[in-house]
Amino acid sequence: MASLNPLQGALGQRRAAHLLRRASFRYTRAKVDEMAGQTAAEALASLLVLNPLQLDQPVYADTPGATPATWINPPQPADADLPGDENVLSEYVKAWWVNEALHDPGAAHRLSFFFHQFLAVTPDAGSSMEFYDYLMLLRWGCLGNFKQLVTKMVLDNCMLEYIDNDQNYVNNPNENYAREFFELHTIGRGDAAGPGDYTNYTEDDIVQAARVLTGFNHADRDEYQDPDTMLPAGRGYPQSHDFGGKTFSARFGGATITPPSNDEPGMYAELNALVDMVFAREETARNFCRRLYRFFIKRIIDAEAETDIIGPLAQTFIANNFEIKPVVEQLLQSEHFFDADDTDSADEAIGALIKSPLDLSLQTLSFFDVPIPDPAGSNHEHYRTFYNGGIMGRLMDWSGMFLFYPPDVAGYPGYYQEPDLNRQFFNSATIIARYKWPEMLLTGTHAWGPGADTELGTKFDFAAWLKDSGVVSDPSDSYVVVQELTRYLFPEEPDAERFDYFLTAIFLNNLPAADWTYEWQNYVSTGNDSEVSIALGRLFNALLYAPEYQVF
Amino acid sequence: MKRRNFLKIAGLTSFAVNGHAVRPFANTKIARILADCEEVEDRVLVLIQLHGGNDGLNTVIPINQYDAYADLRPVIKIPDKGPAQFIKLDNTLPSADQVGLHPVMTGFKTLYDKGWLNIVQAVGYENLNQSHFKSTDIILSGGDGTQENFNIKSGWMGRALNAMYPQVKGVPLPPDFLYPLGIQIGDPYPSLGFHTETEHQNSINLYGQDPDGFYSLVQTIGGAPLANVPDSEYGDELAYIMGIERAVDQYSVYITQAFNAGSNALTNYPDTGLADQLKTIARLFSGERRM
Repeated sequence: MASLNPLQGALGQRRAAHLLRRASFRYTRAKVDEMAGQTAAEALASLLVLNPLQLDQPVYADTPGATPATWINPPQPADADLPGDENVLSEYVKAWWVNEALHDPGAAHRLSFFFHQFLAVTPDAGSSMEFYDYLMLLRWGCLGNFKQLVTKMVLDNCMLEYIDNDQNYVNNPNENYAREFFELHTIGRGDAAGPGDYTNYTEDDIVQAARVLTGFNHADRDEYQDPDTMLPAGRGYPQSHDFGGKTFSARFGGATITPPSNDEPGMYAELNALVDMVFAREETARNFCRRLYRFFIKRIIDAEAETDIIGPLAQTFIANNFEIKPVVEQLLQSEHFFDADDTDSADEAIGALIKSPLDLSLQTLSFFDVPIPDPAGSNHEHYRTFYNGGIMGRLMDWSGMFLFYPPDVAGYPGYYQEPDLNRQFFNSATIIARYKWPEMLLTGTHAWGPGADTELGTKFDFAAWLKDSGVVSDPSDSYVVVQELTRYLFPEEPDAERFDYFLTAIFLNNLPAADWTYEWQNYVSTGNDSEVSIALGRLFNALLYAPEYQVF
Repeated sequence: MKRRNFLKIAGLTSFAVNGHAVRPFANTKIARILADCEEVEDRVLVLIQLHGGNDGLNTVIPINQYDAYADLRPVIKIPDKGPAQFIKLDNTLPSADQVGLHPVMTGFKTLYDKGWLNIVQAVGYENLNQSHFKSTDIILSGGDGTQENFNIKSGWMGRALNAMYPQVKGVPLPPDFLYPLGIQIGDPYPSLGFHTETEHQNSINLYGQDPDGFYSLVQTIGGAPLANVPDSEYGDELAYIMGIERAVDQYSVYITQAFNAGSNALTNYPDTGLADQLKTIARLFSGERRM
């Protein structure tokens, strides 16, 4: 049976690599090796922490070479001058987050992204500053309490706009927030059980919840900060709120919500009562755990996993009052996560998910320690050329993930569109950009299609990396190069035939291994990489556009 | 199978919604043409799926129920008189079928007058699901609000193509088949409409590709497939990926050939995303016929 029992003993390289790939955007050999000697519990303890940020906010230079300035914090009046165009500034905020995600050695950014994909907003739902607040709210909540995060999300200035609660007034209610609150943020939609009845809630519950949510609206950033998150947030406006009693359907046991007082604190009390009511249903915890499972384990939840994993995990979630850390810990240190709970080799988590474009880009950049332009000294190269233009504009957009602009309120289809789920990330439209990614890095350009010559903002020197990084223990030995790279880059080590393909056909081009050793020593002594770079280019491309590298 | 039969398989010929024949489908010129034509071959069905919200009643205005409509749209209704009034679609239809078009839709009116356009209104199903996402899934899977059709895990287009071409099971294609059975072009998210229970990769998603250079571009990527695919979920994903590789490799040959053999008879396509897509589609069709 599938088991949530914690895996005992040292992880070893294969399982440590699996854990790091699934838990963090930052994937390095050093961290894998460190975790290989630890137990799952020890490794997770080092991952489930909020590490300090590289920069606590993005910096912006209007022209190349100008001294970069901040514009987000401390919060300024709404009519304050901004250093640049709002559309550009919001691109800077996106790039700032991606750079933080790349450098975070823990799980916080990948967890933040987990929450973003079902508590989605788009940057144009607010100002660049308010989008930054949304990202900081995800950071605040990602290792905290899910119930609190969902409640605070109601007051996020971007979220208020994105799903229309800024148009939800007592005399002109808008049901959109309430509908997505049930379906996307919390309990989830069940099968249709009758007209207007979605098993877990009804159309009438949406109407009642919308009434609870009337009157929550924007506040200027400099005028109101949430007392718990200390982040700028919206608030309750009693004159726009429906203070009448709300009665819910039998799906919520006919619960009623009435305001304790007809003022702003009374509105918050109603909001908390709504959240309490939804979280009192076991299905809310189960729905969350299914999301966790699909994001971190694999895309199909079979009947055994529903019984043995989702059920007990939901009980952990409830018992811990919806604290996030205990469930993530329990799931990611379980025998099930490490394929140690049965002897069925066909039933695997390791290698069973296709990497999202974000996982593909950040895990590559971190593993090969690709040089990133400095955000202060090379402001335009860092934010615009590299992140906005190259990583997001070329690799990720063309791989089907418009970061922070999911096509739907429901998020990115790879995380919700049944039955394909994350197979959506790899298809006949996205294969080109994914498979051109190694060429982008080696040439330092966009590499293909219109604008192929556009600069990427960095260029990966594979030979210098092999020589200086120490990631491959003996670069002069072609066997060691291929063995250590495939071991860390692929979820499972290749069989002998596949290994020989990478080593002999690709890397050595069917020449003797001694030739490589000679060329490598020549490169090390002369610095001339013209010979080794040909073989290394073949290998880099073949490894990164191998099917084995598309999954994790 | 005759391609016109696709319309029958797709359920387009006998229309009834909630027990009522869909109006004004049965009375228009195009309906009479479809009913009479026996030997239509070499035709292609182009479906345009608009994503997002649209006010159907402000697009096609129910003239025969104008007062009820005006009550539901007190502020944004399309007026029945004055300079911004709706376009009356067809005076010759019975009064129960009378509809108007939004005043910007002059092009649609022209197409209708030529007998090239029909309108199917109020397509839906009983027990309408109001989830934005589930309702999209139900439309694309060809389901409805009943228990048995609520969670269909394949798309109606995929099923129709499987039924019409049972011998086609992805790449390698049978010798007399050169083309993918379907092409998706608008966005990089594979449509549920094309999905089949067993994934054959019978369709290709050309989002963002320049068909002219598609073949040569595809030649520059990808290595040898795995000789031994592990019998595991990891292996399942590898096999899925290699299936995409094979499909792209083979289809790209014919996509580029058809595109290069084709041309656009019209040259004044407007500079919009939709027009660009239709231009590509038209050129692929014209090329296919010349090959």
